[in-house]
Amino acid sequence: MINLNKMKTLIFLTLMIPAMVFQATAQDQLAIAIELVATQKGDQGVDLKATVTDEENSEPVKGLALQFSGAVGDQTVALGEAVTNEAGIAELKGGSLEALRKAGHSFTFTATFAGDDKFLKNEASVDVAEVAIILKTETIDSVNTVTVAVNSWNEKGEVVPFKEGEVKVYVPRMFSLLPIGDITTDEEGNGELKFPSDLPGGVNGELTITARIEEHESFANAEAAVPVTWGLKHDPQATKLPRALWSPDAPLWMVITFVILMVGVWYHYGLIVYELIQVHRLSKPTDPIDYSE
Amino acid sequence: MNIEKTSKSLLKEFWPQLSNWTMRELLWLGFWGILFLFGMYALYVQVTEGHIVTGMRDHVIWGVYIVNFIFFIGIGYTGAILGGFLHLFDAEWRKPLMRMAALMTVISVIIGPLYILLCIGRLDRLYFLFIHPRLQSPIVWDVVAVMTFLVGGVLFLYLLAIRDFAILARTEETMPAWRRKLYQFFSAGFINTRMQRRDLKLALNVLSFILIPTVIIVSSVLSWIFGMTLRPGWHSTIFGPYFVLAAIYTGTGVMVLIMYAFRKLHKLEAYIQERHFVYLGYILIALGAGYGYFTFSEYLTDWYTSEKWNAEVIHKLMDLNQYGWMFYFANFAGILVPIILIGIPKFRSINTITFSAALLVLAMWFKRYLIIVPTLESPLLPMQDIRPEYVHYSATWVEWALTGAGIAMFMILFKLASKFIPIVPVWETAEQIEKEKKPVVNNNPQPVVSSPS
Amino acid sequence: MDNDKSKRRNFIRTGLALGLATVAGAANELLGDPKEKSGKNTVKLLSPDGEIVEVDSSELKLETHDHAGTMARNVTGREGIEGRKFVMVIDLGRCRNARKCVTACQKMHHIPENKEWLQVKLMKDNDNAAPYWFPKTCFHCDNPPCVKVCPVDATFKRSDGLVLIDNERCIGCKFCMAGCPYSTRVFNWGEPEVIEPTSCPPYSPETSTPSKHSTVEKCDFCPDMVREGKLPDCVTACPNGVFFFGDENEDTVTNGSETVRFSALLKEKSGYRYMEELGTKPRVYYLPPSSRMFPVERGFKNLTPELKARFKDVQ
Repeated sequence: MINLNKMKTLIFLTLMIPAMVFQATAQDQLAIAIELVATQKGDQGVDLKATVTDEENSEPVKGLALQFSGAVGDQTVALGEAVTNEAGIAELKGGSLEALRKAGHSFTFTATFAGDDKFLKNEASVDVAEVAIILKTETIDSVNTVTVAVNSWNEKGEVVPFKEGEVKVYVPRMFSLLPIGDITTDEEGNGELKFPSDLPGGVNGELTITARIEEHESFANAEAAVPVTWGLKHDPQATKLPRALWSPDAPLWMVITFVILMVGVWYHYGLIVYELIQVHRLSKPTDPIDYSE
Repeated sequence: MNIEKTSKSLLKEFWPQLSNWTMRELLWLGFWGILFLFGMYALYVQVTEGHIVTGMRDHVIWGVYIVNFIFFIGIGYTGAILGGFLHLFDAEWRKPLMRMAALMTVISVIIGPLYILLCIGRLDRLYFLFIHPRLQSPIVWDVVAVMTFLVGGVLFLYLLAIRDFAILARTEETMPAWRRKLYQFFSAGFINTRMQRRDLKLALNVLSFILIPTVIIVSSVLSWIFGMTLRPGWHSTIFGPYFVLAAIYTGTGVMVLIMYAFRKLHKLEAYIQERHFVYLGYILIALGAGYGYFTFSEYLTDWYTSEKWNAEVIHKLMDLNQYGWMFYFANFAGILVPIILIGIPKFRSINTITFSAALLVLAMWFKRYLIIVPTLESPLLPMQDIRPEYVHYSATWVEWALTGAGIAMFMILFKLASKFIPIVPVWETAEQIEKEKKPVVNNNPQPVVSSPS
Repeated sequence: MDNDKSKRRNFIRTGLALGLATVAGAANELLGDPKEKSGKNTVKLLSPDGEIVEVDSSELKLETHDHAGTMARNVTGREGIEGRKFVMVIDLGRCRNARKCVTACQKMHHIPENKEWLQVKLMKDNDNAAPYWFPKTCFHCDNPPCVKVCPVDATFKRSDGLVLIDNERCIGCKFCMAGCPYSTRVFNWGEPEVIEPTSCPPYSPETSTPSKHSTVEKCDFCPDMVREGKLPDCVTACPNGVFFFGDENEDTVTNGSETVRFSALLKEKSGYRYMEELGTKPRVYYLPPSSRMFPVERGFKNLTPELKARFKDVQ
């Protein structure tokens, strides 16, 4: 028995020696860095955006599943899961805050990567105090005005205005947000901004106005959006291109000219062929053959 | 009258030429055949390896192929317009030349477009031109124009040959049965009845009439491939008429060369006479003067206003270190020398006229090169490319081989055609001989074919 | 203790799996890891408000893109993106010939180094004028001389303003190249070199890749990316925010970090179109090289001798 055990150990050890050599590399999982950004969206919950890079090269890491959670005090709520894309970004849209709000107004959001064969476990957290942006649009003396009322909560859970805070107003466009202006809130947490009258909108002038508090030390990001029809009406362009030199369909005059020219020439060719047929037909002469000229 | 008899004797004279191949002719054919086959090898290389084997690159996207295209197509257009005009004006002396003119038209208009095919990268998709054509594109205009013209040219050749086919079908000369059958077929049953003569004449009149505007349009369309682009030296309003004149000028020069060649080779001194050279010489002077005027006008306006890019091209053309020599040769030797040699009676002879023709044909080839290449080497934005083949165009052996193949094809097809049908039309020449025997009754002779029997 | 045990188990498992792992690793190595090493270099950058800031170069890493979405939607590429009219503004005052746009474009379209759909030229308008760097994309003209002359509808203008090429239609007559006064188009004279063909998306006029032999190609404003709301690669690659891209219908252009009104940008910085007199109506606007961020000489830094030689006539 002992011998056998010894042998087993021996065999085990011989197997292990090369294994140990390789273990150093195979076990060497890469460390990752997670950067977490939270954006509060009032009723629409919270957007959490985590950017994952590997620590060695700072390259984005694709295909990692991240767990997002929120906590108030010791109460934790799972918000959802997202997988990083080519740019190493995993995004959770509209994570529900309803459960958390019941417990308080200071959240801690966490993105956790559980670790796998290639990458080490890691997590990132961000503390966010809840803030409420009430975004209203009204037309005062025929001037379109954006008003905001911004409040947050103190430690006792009382509503306090966000004083002298900066709120940026944007209109979302195809690739990015177009800045319209900044509002600095007053003592009551209120502020307003005149909205430009010459901004192109949709077919009926549809636009979305987004008010944002950006990179605030306790609120992180917060935004509120509201649709308006304050834009210039945009004529829906015909998808059918006009007749033009540069479109698939030629200008009419060109078609007509072409047809006239073609008919002009080919009609005469036809006439000539007809005459040739006549010549052929006349080879069985009805009139006497006549060589004299 | 004795037209039938005269034509019989003419055919007898021409028959050995039609039925026998001399050693010299075979060697001639062999020489061009080898050149042609070499071109086919070059074609194989180009098709398998792509246009990378040519000297063309991203800036100079067209080279000697398009030069040859313009050159041959121009020659082709000439035969028809020259023949058409001479027919309509009923210039009696034209008759021995009509076959050569018609053959020149058809052969050149077959060869010319082959060069444009060489410029097309994806020949496998050529049929897209017919299933996805865009009427706005000058290339589509040109495709339609060339095909339309080719049909007209073939009809022209054929109408002028029916009577000879009829004569050949009925001749007493011995020939293989298939050959006689072929002549029979092509004679379209022409047995020279009054009605047939009337129909044939009508057809020829109609064709001559329609070919003239057709040539002007199709030749202009060719120029518009260049005129419709925003390129210095191309974007010119006079390009249409300029190309028409250039085409006919070149073509008439080639016509003189063909006459000279067949006159010598087939011993046709009796039929292709000095006066033919002189008359064509006169036409050359008129065309040369007109063409010279256009050339002067074109360069003068570009040089005088010296708009940035035009000035750049003009500078390239006149600079002796760049295209200067070619420019002066093309525009002086190609225009002034022929005018002087033909215009001054003392110098005028078959040889000088032929020399002038050769000179101007060569000059006109270079002229087309000067239209294409320097312009493409002068893009509107600075090239800032250091790859020499992208900056300067120089044709590769493939392009020269295929240029040679085109010339060879021209020679071979002409030779083969002259073995099938007399290069001097038998019936028309007979008619002319008979007609000129008669005392001139008035200064306004009736058209021959309808003269009362 | 617990931890130790699991570590050992892991240890053993790793040991047994080593064969597979090394094979996989080697394969990975052979196929080429897409990640490039980047040192801890810092680069000077233009911040959104025009200040020069120093950033770690690793932060400059481009987003990598896949064209996958295009094919999934089965887009033929001939219809424009509805309601859009794309426009580009190039700020000549910011260009220092970093050539990131050129290389990003080549990477995006799997084209080799010697083929430049996007070029940076050194312009000097007259003897006394100061030279400036001039990035040149396709101008996507509204009156495109290239489209006019195409005999087979292979190059076409879309309702969203883009001029694209259908390389499966192109017959290679090169007439469009003669037609384009800006020498924008390139031709595949031989069998085209396709870089990293395995990651190349399937061909469509919107991906413009892989290249097809004996056909014409050019800058396409990356419509497959634009369809997904992403900016073309030259825009995002530029370290100085030279390229602004956007939808004219929205009167908005962005270079990735700054978003401005298109009309205001043109107004404030005297935007113009290159060679307006040609009547081609380009969709690319330029801001004159005034108030430059860099001296023109900066553009010669880090250039290979071959690239430097291009500009010898200007200097």
